[in-house]
Amino acid sequence: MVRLGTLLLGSQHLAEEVVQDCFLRLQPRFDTVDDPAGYLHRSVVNGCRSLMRRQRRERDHLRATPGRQAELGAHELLDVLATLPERQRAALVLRFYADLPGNEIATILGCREGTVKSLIHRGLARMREEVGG
Amino acid sequence: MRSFEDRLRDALRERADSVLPNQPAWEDLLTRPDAAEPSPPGHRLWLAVATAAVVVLVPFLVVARYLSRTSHVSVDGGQGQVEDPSPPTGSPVAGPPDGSLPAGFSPVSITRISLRVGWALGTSACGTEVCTALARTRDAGATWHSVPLPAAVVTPSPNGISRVRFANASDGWLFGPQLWATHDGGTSWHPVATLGGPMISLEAAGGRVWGLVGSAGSVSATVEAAPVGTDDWKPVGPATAAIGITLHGKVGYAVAPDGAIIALGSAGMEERGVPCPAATVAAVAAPSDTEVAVVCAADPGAGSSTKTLLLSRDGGRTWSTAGAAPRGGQTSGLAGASTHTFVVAAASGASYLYRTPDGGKTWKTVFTDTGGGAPLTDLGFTDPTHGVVVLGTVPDAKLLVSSDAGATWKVQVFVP
Repeated sequence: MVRLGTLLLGSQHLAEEVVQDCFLRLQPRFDTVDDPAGYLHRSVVNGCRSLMRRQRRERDHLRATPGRQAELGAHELLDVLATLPERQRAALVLRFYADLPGNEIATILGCREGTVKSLIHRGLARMREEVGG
Repeated sequence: MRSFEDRLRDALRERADSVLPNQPAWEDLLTRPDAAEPSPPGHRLWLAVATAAVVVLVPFLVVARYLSRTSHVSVDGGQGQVEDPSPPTGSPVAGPPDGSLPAGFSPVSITRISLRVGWALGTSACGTEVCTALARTRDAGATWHSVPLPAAVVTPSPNGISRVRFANASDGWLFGPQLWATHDGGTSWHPVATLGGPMISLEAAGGRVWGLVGSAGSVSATVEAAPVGTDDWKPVGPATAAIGITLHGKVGYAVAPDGAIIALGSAGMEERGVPCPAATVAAVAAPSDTEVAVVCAADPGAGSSTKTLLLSRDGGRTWSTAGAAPRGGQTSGLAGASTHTFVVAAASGASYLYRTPDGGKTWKTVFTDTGGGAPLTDLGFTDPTHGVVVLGTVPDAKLLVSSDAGATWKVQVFVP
């Protein structure tokens, strides 16, 4: 969960705080939650998305920084990922890190599966545009 | 050039691998094998422990990481990577109370459910005889304690048991060729009837336990599976070669008689690509849910063979050659610490561990034992840095551990 949060937020420290909050929120509801793992997944993603929205202004300046190279390194790719809108970033991380199918990503993000496909398509297109990949 | 999606996938995993490599995977606590059923009291206990541990450990780990970068544990382990669901001390592990480890314990098989909690099957002295013994550690191998075994398997026998695996703190198996199971952490064991053959290989992950059941007079085997926590074994598909099962997460792999990789999943078996059309698959490893690696053995000579590492990034459908390990020895194992760091075990007149840190491009011999080619078994990584392998056979077998992704290996002493 901390890893997932770190990929969404770009900060392990913030991810640890979000995950800790989510566990604390889940504990008193554990008996009434049908799918604790899924609930925790959604809580972490939603908690990270809230933080991501707050970080948007700080993030905007990064959009100009990636250079155009034939094959950027991991750090540069993640820098570009960090410039994406939070829903696109969440969809890409859930798809390419968590290996979740579209319907599960849709449940977590609270949207239709078709929207997930669109988010992933537009996110990848925007990253390719940024890095020239 | 790799696709953009693959580059993004690698970048995300590389970043994720750098995050709290020894940190518990709390989600595993919530997806225990019976997670789909109503939550039993044990789950609530686990959650309470997990929540308390998060609250206590997260600030501690953050501070500790910056105060000290020294490695604090050596580790036991086995096949495939797992995450650590136990807090550092006093972890709740089911099963019988700790007993004294008998003198002269020699391991033959190792398994673990976390960096700290594991079991070793081996032999030890019992009076003037040698007996089969099971040892458990709850502190990453710093100390080991005896766990009682059923009387029927205490006397070593070729027709008894030779390997151990646990899926979690409750569900474990003793096998090879017989099959015994426990669902209470080893407090009690019972024999399990399978479809009539010896249990050759067994691994558990993702809520299922998979086994290769041999057939008399044949080098092939059938795959059987059961939900973890039950003894409801059922055959799941056609015959496979009898070289073992490799698991990562919820995906498993076996090898078909024609050399094709077979993916094992909740939907059954699916034949994928043939990685070595002109050679033999000698070992398989799965460093991630989608990445599979094999060592193809060819040109066998006197105590040597060509060991080509092939990688697949699409679950075994397509393959590419990554490099070749040194020729010394016949391959007995392959393990992936990450998607680019692999260790190959081989033995002939000597025993070797070969390591590549760059996906097969370069190789280094990181361990050599010239004691006559003792076998290397149960090679595996518990996480991207901690590995384990058993060297030799009882009563002289040794447990080797690595805490640097396989770059160096040292003997772990079984301290009672």
